[in-house]
Amino acid sequence: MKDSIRWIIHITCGGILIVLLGLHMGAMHLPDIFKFFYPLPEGSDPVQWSAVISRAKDVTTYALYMIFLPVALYHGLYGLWNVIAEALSSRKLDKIVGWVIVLAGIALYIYGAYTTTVSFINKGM
Amino acid sequence: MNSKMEVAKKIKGRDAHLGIIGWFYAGRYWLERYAYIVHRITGLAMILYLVLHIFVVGERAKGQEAWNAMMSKIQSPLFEFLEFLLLVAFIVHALNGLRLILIELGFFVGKPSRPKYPYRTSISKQRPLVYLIMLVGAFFIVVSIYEFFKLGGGQ
Repeated sequence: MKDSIRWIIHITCGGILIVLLGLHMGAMHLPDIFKFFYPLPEGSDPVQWSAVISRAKDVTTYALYMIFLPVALYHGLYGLWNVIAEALSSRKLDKIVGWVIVLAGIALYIYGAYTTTVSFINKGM
Repeated sequence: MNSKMEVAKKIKGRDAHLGIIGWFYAGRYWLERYAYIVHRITGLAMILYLVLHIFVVGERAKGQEAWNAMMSKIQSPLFEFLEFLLLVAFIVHALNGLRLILIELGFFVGKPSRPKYPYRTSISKQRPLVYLIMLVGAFFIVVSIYEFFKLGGGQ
């Protein structure tokens, strides 16, 4: 893939993250302000089990997480690769680091998507 | 070997960069360059957090007991403060990222012109955007401090 294409994907993901991560951060850390997006019962915490599992079972939230995860991983790991590549003095090493990051990204995506899906479909929870 | 050849060899081998030290040297680029340094630091902090976050949140797939055990490990004043720093890092990174996207798309750089001496710089067109994102960022950070630490009361 050309560098220019990778860069366009990177900034597109950045634009998507401003919205998605903004809503996620707001709902988790500033729940009183973001109750228009994610209403919580009075006095409850967004990370208590009942709230966590009600989000996990919600089909809209599940779909958002499944978009959010690859977008965040691509944007973050591509940025990380750029930072590391700049500090390296060998193009061969750049490529090796790049592939390690790609494999790490795929592994993180599989794990994240698996736990999100298990929480969504598991009726015992 | 003459000095020109030495420099050419260094550039070819990419030894001419300043390395990590170069991150903290803004030179005459000043404010935009410092914004770039902060963008990198906040970005690295967030990618590190994302990796940890995937594993922490993954505990919910193991059931309520595993989730509560994980929460009891990470719900401490230190972690809460680190989460607040993460929120600040997001605000800074997102607003500066928005500025970079606008500039990438050709906004706030002025109209293109031929490179005639004395050369024109787009700094005067870009700088107000930096001031604007600093103001908006400061506003969001103040609101976050107020809400995150419940300065207005409440739970």
